[in-house]
Order: sequence, then C-alpha cells, then structure tokens
Amino acid sequence: MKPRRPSARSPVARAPRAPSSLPPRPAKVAITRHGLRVGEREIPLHAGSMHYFRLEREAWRPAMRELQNLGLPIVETYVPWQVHEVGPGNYDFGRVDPRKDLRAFVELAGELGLYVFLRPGPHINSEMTWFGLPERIVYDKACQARSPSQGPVVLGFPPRMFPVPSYASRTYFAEVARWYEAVAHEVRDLIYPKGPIVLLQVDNEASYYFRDAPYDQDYHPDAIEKLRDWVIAKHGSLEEAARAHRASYAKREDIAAPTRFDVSDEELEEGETPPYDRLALHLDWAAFREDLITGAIREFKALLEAAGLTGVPTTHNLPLGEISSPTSLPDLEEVVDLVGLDYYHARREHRVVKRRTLYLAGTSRLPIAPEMGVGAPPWFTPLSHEDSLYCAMVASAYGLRGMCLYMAVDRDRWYGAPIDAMGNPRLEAASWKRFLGALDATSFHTLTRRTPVAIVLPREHMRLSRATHLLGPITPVTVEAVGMSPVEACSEADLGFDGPIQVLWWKMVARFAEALTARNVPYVLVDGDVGEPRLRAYRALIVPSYEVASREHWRTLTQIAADGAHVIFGPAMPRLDETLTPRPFEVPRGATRVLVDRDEDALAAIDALLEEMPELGLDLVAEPAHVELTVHENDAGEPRVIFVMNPAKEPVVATITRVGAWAPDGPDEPWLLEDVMTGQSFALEAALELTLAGGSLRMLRVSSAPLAASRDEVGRAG
Amino acid sequence: MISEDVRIQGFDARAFTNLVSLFAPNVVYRHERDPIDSDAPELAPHLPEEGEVRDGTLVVVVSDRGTVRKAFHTVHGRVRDLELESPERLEGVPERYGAKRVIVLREGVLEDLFARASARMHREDDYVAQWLQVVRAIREEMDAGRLVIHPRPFTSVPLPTSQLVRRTLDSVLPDDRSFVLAVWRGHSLWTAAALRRRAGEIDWVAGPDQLLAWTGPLGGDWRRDHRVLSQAVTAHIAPVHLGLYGDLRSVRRLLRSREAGAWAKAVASREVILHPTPPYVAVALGADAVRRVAQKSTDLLGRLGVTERLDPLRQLVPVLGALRGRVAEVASVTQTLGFDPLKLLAQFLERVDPDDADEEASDVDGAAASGRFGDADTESDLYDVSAKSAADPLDPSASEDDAEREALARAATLYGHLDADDGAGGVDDLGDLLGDAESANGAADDDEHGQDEGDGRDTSERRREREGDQEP
Repeated sequence: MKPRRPSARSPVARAPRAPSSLPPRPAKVAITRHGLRVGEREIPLHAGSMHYFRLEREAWRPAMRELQNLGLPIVETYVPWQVHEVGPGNYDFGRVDPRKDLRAFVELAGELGLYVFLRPGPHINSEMTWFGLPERIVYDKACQARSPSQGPVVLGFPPRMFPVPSYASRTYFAEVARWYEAVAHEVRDLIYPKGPIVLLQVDNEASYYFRDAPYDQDYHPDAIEKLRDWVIAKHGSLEEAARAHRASYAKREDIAAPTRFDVSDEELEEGETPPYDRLALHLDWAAFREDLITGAIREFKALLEAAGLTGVPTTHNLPLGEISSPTSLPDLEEVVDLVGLDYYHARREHRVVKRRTLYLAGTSRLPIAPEMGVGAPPWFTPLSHEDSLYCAMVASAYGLRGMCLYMAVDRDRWYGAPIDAMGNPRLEAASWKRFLGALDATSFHTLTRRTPVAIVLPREHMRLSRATHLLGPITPVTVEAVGMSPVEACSEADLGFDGPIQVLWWKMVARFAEALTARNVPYVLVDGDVGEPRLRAYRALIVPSYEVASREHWRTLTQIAADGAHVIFGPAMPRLDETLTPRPFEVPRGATRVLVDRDEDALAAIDALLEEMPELGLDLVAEPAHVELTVHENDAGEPRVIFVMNPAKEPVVATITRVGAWAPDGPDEPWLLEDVMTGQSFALEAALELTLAGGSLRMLRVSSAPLAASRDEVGRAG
Repeated sequence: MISEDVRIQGFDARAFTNLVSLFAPNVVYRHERDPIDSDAPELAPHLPEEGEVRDGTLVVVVSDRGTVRKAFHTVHGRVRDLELESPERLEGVPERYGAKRVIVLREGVLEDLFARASARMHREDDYVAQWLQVVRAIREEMDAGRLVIHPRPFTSVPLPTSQLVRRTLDSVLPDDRSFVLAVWRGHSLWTAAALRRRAGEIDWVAGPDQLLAWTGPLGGDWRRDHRVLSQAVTAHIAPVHLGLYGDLRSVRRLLRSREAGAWAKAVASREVILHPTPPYVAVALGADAVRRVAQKSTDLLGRLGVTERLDPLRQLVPVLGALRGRVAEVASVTQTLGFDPLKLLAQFLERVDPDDADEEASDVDGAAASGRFGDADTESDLYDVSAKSAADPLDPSASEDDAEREALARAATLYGHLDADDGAGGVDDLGDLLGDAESANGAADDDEHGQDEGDGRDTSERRREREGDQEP
C-alpha cells in the first residue's frame, strides 16, 4: 500500500509552472473532514448544477433562487470551451451572446449569496457534441488519441461519434493552456475571498473518454515517449526494464507498447516458462495508463494555476465503472484535493450504489458525488424521480457526505431536473428539498459511520483484470457501468497460476462483502493504493492475495499486522513481485490465511473474527436478512441518523433490535426517532417494527438515544 | 438526420420515461426487474428453471482455435463450463442457458470491426450514417463467421444506406415542418413530443413542459386540446406536417397491432386523431381500410360459401380508382426502405411487451397486415390481398379472376356491414380520408375541411352529424 507521497514511479513530465503575475492569495477555502471551510464558516459540500449557457438570461435569477430554496449553498456550472470559442483564440464571453456572460453569472451567484463550483474542462461531456470541445480540436490529428494502428479512437456517443483527444498530446496541452487563460481572464478575480468561486474541477471523468479498454489507446507518439521514460524510471535502467519484460532493449526506442494481450496458456508444453512470465510488460502498460491520466490531471491543474485560477480546492470526478477504470483514485488525490464519483442508478441497483459508496468512503479523503444524477440524458437508460432520490439517499446511507445535484436546473439534452429551464420548481422539487433539509437539520455532513473493517482491492490484480479484458471496445468501464461485475468480461485463463487471478480476486472480495453484510459488520472497500495511515485506521483488513503481489504493498501489510491490526489474507502467499520475478514475502505476523472456495468459508472467517472482536458488529440489527441498516454517529459516538433500507421489490415489515452495547439497560430508555421524509415518529425500545415499501428506505433522525454507561469505545475509521 | 446541434428539452422524468415506454418498453421494464439481491451476484450462477421466461443474451468469446475463453449471461452473470459444440451449431444453446439469444465472438473481432467502421467514417457524416457504418461492419463479420448471433436478427430487413434513410425522412417529414405526438391518460397529458426538421435534420425535440409553457393549461378533453397543441407547435416550432393524438390505451394498442384496418378504423372512429394527414398517410389509411374490407370479405365468404355479383361493387370502383392513382404518386416508406418500420415496431413491441398485444390481431395474412403506413403494395396487390389469405375459402376450381371479382363484390356489401357493426362509417369514411388528403396536399396549415367524392357535403360537417360533435 503506497505511502502518500508523490510517486517516484511516475516520471510523467510535470509541466513547468509559469510565473504568475498575480500575488499569491492566503488559503481561505479548505476541504475539511466534513465539507468545505469558507473563511470562518464550514458548509456541507451540497451543490446544484445549472448551466448558464443553456438557459435564457432572464431565467438565471429565478433558477438560482429556487436552487437556494432547495437548500443548496453552492451552484455548479461547466464552462464549455466549444460554446465560448468562436474561432481559434477568439472567444465570446457575453460580448455577442449575453447567455455566455460567465462573469455576470458568477457575480449574480455571489450577489444572491451562493458560492460557485466552476468546472472549466477542458472536456466536459455534458451531453454536448464532441463533449464540449471545439470541433477543430477533436479533428486535429496532433491532438487525437491513437489506436494501435495509429487510427483515431472514436467514441460512439450521440449526436455525433468523434475521435477523442490524447491525454499525452503536447499540442492538446498547448491548446488547453490558451483556453484556461481565456477563462481566467474573465473570472480569476472572482476566486474567493474576492468573489464566490470556492471550488474548481480539473478536467472531467478522466477515463479515456470511455474508450478505456486496455489496448484501445493511447499510441500517440507523445504517449509512447512518455511510456519509455516511465518504464526506465520504474525499473531503474534500460537493462532492468528488458529483464522485467523478458525482452531485448538495445536502446530506449526499442521499448514498445503492447497492442493486444498475447499471453496465453494454450499450447503450453512441458518445460516451457509459464505464460505469466511475459505478464510484466502488460502490467506495466496498465500501470502506465493510470499514471498517464494522473500526469495529465497534474498538468491541467498546473495550467489552471499558471492562468491564475488558483487559491481554492480542486476536484475531479470519476464516472461509473471506477473499479475497472484505468485511473487511481488515491493517486489523483495526490494531485487534486478531492476525487468523487458520479452516480446515475435505478432503484434495482441498490447493491451497486452500496458497493461504489463503500469504495469511495474507504478510499477518498471525503466521499462526495460531484454528479448525483437527478434525471438523466435522453440517451441513457430512463431514470425516474424515485430512482434518483433513492440513489442519493442510499449513497448517503453508506457514507456519502456531499453531493452536487446534476442537474438541479433543467437544460437542453436532459430530463428530470427539479427546477425547470425557466426557474420554476417542478413537483419533484419538494422531495429534494425535504431530503436536503434533513441532511442539514441532522448536520449529516458532520456525522460518521463506523466501519472498523476494510476489504482491500489490490491494484495489481485490478490491472491484471483490465489487461485480460476480452470485449475490446465494449470496455471494462462500460461492462461495470451497465451493472455487471468489474471482471465479467475477463479471460478465465490460468496464465500458469493456480487459478485465474484476474477473476478470483473479485470473487473473494464479493464473498467477504456478502459475509460481512450477513453478520451485520459495517465495512468499506479500500483501494490498494491508499497510503499506510489510511489503512491503519481499521481494526481488521481483508486482503485477497495470490501468487503475485506488490512488494511495497505487502511490506505495508506486514507492518500493519505487526502493529496489531487483524489481517485476513489468502488464498495464497505471494511469491512473485510485479515483474513476475520470484521474491521472498514475509508472512504477516498474527494474520489469518484463509482458503475461500465457498460462501461458508468466508462466513466462517468472519465468525472467527467476531469471536475475537465482537465489538466489530453493529449494535443494531435488522430483520429479515435482506433489510439493511446503517447508523451515523456524532463525534461523541451517539447515533444521530439511522437508515433502514428495503432493496427488494416487495414490501416488508422490518424489525429493528438494539443489541450489545446499545441494548436498553431498562424499560425507560427508548430511542426517539423521526422519519425525516414522512414526519412519522417512533420509539425504539428493545425492538421496533417498521413497514417499508418495496424499493424504499427510511431515514430516521435520532432525537434522543440514551446509551448504557458501560458501552465500550470502538476505534472509528475513515 | 439528427442535427449536431439538436435540442432536446422540456421533459420531466415522468414524461420522458412514458415516451420511451411507448416505443421501447423493455428498456423501462429493465428497471422493474427484480433487484440484485446480493453483494456478490456473480457468485450465484443462475440455472434456468423449467418454464422460466428467457431473458438477456449469452455472450461467448472464443479463441482462434475455437476454445471458449469466456462465457457470461448479461442478466445472470458468469457461466462456467459452457458446453458449445461449435460456434456454427448454436441451436438450443440460448434455451439451455435461459437466454433469448447467443452471441459468439472470435477474440479480437470487436476491435477489428470498430476500427474498420471508424476508418470509414467521414467528418461530415451524421449519427445515423455513422451507426450504419458500424452495423455494416458487424454484418461483414457475421458473414465472415467471426461474429455469430443466434437466432440471427432482422434476416429479412435490408440494411438501408444513409441516403435511403434520408429519402424516407424526406417523404415522412419535409424540411421546416414538425411532427407531433401527444398521448393523454384520462384528462392528463401523459407524454408528448414535437420534432422539427430543418436543413434536412431533426434539430429540435420539445417535451410537454415546453409545449405547455406555450399553450398554458389544457382543458382536459384531448379531442379539443390537440388543436391547441397543434397551434402552439405551429407558432413556436414549425407548421405541423403530421400529428398523432390519442388516449394512451388506444395508441399503445395500435402501435402493437398488425391487424389490417386497425389504424383506418381507429382514425375513422376518432379513437385517435391523425391531423393533418399528409398524402402518404391518407393513402395508407385508405389502403388499410380496403385491406380490412378484403379480409372481412374473405372471412365471410369462407363462412357463407356463396358468391354473387352485386351492384354495390360499382360504388367501390371510383374510390378504388382514386386510391390507385394515389398509390402511383406517393412514394411509400416501405418502398423506400425495403421494409415496413411500423410493422417491425409492432413485432418488436409484441415480443417485448406481449401483455399489451392487440387482442384482435390475427395472423391470417402477414401480407395483408403489412404496409400500414408504408403503402408499398402495387395496384395488383390491393386486389390480391384476399387471394393471399391462408384461409382462402373460395372454390379452388374457380379462376383467379373470378375469385377476385367475387371477393370485391362481397367487399362492397360487407363494407356496409362493417359500417353497421363497427361504426367505421363505410365508403363515406374512405372518401373523407381521401378528401382530407386533398386538402393536406394543397395546404400545409391545419384545415379539417375537405371535400369527398360522395354527396358533396363538407367532410367535417358530415362527421359532426355522425358524431353529434359541435364546434365550440
């Protein structure tokens, strides 16, 4: 597990920081544990999206007012390059078309008391043709990403398929610099404290424009040059790189990117080196592609700063399919201040929302959704109002602490926003107002969900899964985004290992997730790239381990185990490092090695863990088994919000029971609960029956929760 | 055909989902499926049970040597130990794994076909043209055996070129004209959409929010409200070339119906309103009505077993003559495309939403049921429909000409019966429709008035008399 410092393995060139003519501003806005500190005030990261350039100017004020009426302190907008550029280097920011007056929009927000979350791209998607980039950029071959045959890499989104830009192209970065300068010229003096801009997003959903399959891109000459630098930096020398790749490199230019996964265990004869011997190049390619994105975000951020857009926290958002995505959330959070996930889900995807949020809660600095879908684009699968609201509430239940309603105000190529394009509230606005009001009233952003157990997702195995993807342009992200598992389309070849690691690691994660849920133990999913300090916050770590592992990660694991955390690993002790070279690996002291072939094996492992640490379980139990329950506590450890969820289609009468440290001491210690959406009140003594409609949940505010004096303190994580 | 600047606006979640559910209910129903009930659904391989409805697609990836590299079901997940005799022999495979179809992919085929399609795209291609390149590449791989889909879809559907699709759109919706669909449920507007075509492309799709912003609150009687909507669209978007207005139940039934005459009857009885009716629509409705008559005559001939030459035939002749002329003038959608998109839609809807299938639909004669809006049939086909019937009751020893004459003779009589039984209005209604076509042909603006070839009375006047409707 990588220490949280700039990685020495990322030789992607840092853009030289151009001297700014503007004096540095004191840091007045900061990301905190709970949200955003703006001056002396801490606010939750609750925002609503409104695209000034797609609305009539006279709608801005009423729409912003309605946004405030919903309870949102921040308005978010993209700044579309394509809309403002009227010719190369020539921009309209309202001089000709008043709807494009970005400055007026930001000033109006400030006048009304709203803060601004600005997203200047360069690419914004936003259902715009060419994703909001100027047509001349996407058709400039020097800017285009390249396929293995040096052809364009085309994205199939409506209303026009288009060739996507390269995250390595020097030409593209030069164009972006000019664009950022144009934006900065309009609004750099509106950065807080001088103006209302408090957050900036760098680029958008950086995942190779959904053409993320391992050998889709990027073979642009600039990318290949970066690859060569990267490989030599990682291995220390050309000779070591050749040794790792089982290749012969006489000169730097001999390093070539793989164009397909050519490691096969077919026709393997006795005595031949196992196929995995040739895996190192493919794993390096997978890791390089992650670093290429990270490096590009770093360069974009430097360009923003050079233009004077600086002094406030920066963010980035990852789209659906984050586990399959060739991006490292922890690495990105070394570059920007906060990385979140975008959510667009139907009610039946409750488990997917749960999984994604647990990953975000376990991995990011502050779990937020830069885009919490309210409605959807017309070419997406249809989502109802109930779908959107349910998704937002379920994500909150599992630990989301901030969100930007996307869209809060309706616009072209969208449906379902709670405020229409003239600034009038739709019927759906009432539910959103109630929910956001409940988050505010409970100070939800200040609460914590105790999750003492973490399942670690080893990044080296995630890379192997990507490398063995079999559906080409139906990419790993696409497969995951439509609801299948991140390893659904992976090859099942053994590659010379005892089993197909690229599939098995996820099976183990899934088994333990199921077992922890069954035993009512709150947990999170943690990216294997998070730093050691984050991992130390957990009482127990569950780590899928196979023949190959990162030495650095394993060292961290053994150290954490030695310092007292309970580590469950297995099924195999690693014996090969990431270059597939045999190495000794230390057995983590006191750890438990498990063989998990069946669901019962994972349950048995969790039962054994609970035998040793019974406090890991939640002291509130829901029945029947499919009803899920989460509890959010204040800093004193007092429960303040309880979510009770029924993901099934059929209604259910759920029984909630206080157990363990929360069991009542006597008959007069009921918890007083209020359903924040319906206003119903309940008293939870020892147990309580709650009716839940199919596909619904209750968010219960705890107004009083007397706790037994003898309750043990349990370490809090995350 | 779709503008790169296309505007799509004015939909709340409910109206949009309703609109999608009309034409692609399976997409909406997908969300109504049972939720994923586990944190680890991939661990519970699903084995199809006896009688279980098949769903989803079985995807199999094979190596160059034919070894199965991966198999999964798009709904149920990973499939282990797939038994596949060969990629060419797939009978029974979907059924065995509870899937509707199986797709077998040679490893690398998707990369190749996407690369080939991308290389063929031109910067000026629109979205339809781009997708046609992808579909073309898919068909090439299917022909080469590197991509196998079983059962093979759309075997009888030729792949149109983008020029053909554009010509079809030209015949359906001219430039600077709009198409309106509005569906009510009871007194409420359930969904609506107005499409505009400009410079050859659809550039604006406006939803109910947008439309109602222009009309203000509607009265709740859709047979009157449709005029207000139409006027608003004309004023703010473009003159309406074709409008379809109706109650939800009727519209859904008609979209799924393959019964001859269903649309003609619905229009004639004002179960739905098609207004204005461009020439090709009027002609198609007329032909639809004749087919209905012919089918009815066939049925009754079969029951009665009696034929006789009757004077009413003469009444039918001028109507059919005018119809014949229209068919020659008006290019039909089906002729242009080579397939009937409405029939295809009906088949699709029947497959994905069988509970809503038209109860009256009969499968007696696929040819008779075709060409509802695509009036592709030649002149001889108009008369030939009854002879194609699978349940041809005519005396097999009779000559083809004799059978034809008898069928038409009966049709004239039975059209009168149809009038009495179904309230369709008989020959007069057909004349009404043709009269509407005359006026629509001459003036693009809405005008319900037209002349028929009967007694010279104004169409709307006679309709009001029939229905007791009064102008406000």
